[in-house]
Amino acid sequence: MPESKTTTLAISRAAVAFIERRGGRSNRGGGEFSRAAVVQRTLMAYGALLQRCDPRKTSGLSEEMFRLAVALLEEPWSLRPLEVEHLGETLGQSAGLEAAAKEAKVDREEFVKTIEALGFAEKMAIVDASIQDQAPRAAGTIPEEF
Amino acid sequence: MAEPVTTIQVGGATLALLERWGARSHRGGGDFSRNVVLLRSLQALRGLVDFSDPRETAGLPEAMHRAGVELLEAPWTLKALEVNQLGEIVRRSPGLGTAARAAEVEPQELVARIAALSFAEKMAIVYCAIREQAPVPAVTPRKTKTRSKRR
Repeated sequence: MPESKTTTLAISRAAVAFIERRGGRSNRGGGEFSRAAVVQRTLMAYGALLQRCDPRKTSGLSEEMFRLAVALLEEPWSLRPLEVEHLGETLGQSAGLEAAAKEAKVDREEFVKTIEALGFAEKMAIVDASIQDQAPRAAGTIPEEF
Repeated sequence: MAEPVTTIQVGGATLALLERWGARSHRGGGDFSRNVVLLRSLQALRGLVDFSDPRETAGLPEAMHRAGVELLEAPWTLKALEVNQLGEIVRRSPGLGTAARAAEVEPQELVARIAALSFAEKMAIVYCAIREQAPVPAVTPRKTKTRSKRR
């Protein structure tokens, strides 16, 4: 794939370990297993996974419930896998749930139960939609450090 | 937070994905530095794959899982559409008969069980295959510095 824009990305030891576990290696000439190629492949797989696990398509989750869950998550990028696994419970503890559910005309109990019953990948797709909604704004509020 | 240890050259496609998740150029680190967003995405994918293991989520027998993993050739080359059609990929594999025999299952049953999995469960099989089949990085011996004797 021709790349019009390239940049240098600093990566951590943990990221290197993840990449190497999947065949990535230092390879200035590029190739199928250069670290950059493995990173790109992995991120694309992650993106595809999230796109195909949208619970509105896979489990018939209503648009209202989906929107409500996306809006209620606070700092979704900070959620740990266990919190994602129990996303219904996580949302059930949200301070704004009562009011937001009433406004969206969604039954609170049913909402928590429906979200909790989704598969992990579907819950992750909700978290991702929330990250995409909130992250750019949050990132923009952080002042540049020089 | 994770300290950068090395650098890689990434292209526009990778950058676009990272930016979609809030990443931006940020020398001072922080929650949305590219390094942090990259690491978070990699960890999220690992979590996704771990929690979608079809042996646990769909009761796929170990022997069928093994057969699926071993039948995939160069699994890192599979595109999303092919992952979605993983049953078909397995059906076309020349090793299907042998693998099915080893798993003590009919080839059609193996294909049907894999085809019936969700996308995330299929991806978990693909990632298991990648981890097993991707080449192990060679350890490059460190160059020993030799002092040149100048007179």
